[in-house]
Amino acid sequence: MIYEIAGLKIEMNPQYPRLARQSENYKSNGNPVMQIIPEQTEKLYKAICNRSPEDREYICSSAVFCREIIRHERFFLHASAVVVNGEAYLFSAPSGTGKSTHTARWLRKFDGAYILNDDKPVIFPQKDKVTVYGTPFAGKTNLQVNCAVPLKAVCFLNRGDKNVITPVTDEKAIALFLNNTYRPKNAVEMNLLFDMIEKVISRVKVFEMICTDDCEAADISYKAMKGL
Amino acid sequence: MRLIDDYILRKVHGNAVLVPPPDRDIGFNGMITLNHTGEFVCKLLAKDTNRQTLAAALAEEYGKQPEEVAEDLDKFLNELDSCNMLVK
Repeated sequence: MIYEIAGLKIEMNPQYPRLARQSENYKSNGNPVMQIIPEQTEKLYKAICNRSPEDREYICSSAVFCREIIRHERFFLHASAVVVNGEAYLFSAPSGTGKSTHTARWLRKFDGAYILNDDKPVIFPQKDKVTVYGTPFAGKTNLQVNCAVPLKAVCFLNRGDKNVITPVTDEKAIALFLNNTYRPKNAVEMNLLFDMIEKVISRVKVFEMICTDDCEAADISYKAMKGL
Repeated sequence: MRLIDDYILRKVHGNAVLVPPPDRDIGFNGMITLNHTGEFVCKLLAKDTNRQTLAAALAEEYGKQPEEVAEDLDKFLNELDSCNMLVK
């Protein structure tokens, strides 16, 4: 079966409902540039042997995808991506910090807002723009749509008892991107990843935010990221 | 001493970064950001060298005496060593 994910034709043959369901809207045709076989992540495949076959297929296919897209000049960010007025805002953080909680606040705040991807949106930096793609791989909530949207801003979240958002230095932004994506295992791809991070930070504002889970947090992040 | 084989030292949007070899685990999986001095020293550490040579080169670069740069140099070399980035 051929799918088009993040602008790439991909061969994938789901055996279980979760991956098949999540990938349904990405069905396509043509010649694939990569093939996803869950067992390609041999180490991970063995490490999660206690999970159901369905989850194993989904998790390992996601891992193969995130690894293979680097050579196609795209990378995923561990983030919840929310779209407002045709622009994507990415909130990245370690699991359990409250990415989805924060973007859920945005959904309540803005008419027409939607989640592009709730766990692994793909960033595609091009010559004069940065595009974010939805992917079938969306973590626990499964929230995702098959769309490509211009990236407006990125925010790395930390949980705290107040709401403070600040722009980060390039130095810190590079480290934050590197810590929240797949880290390539060879020099060629590591350099490709750095090239992509360079393009993103040169075109898009990057913030860090200490936030609570109240409504005020969404007001503050929106104003800063929108540049109001 | 020298930097470990297959490290990556490059600029990212004007910022010098040093990362360990991507293809193997050296017990350090982070990234070191470098100022001009750190970048200067790391470039010298591409080839086998020693503390005295590094101190002399650094002193010349900044118009100081080797004794004046020794403390900062040692601190930096210790940091690289603690990240397993040095071969001695």
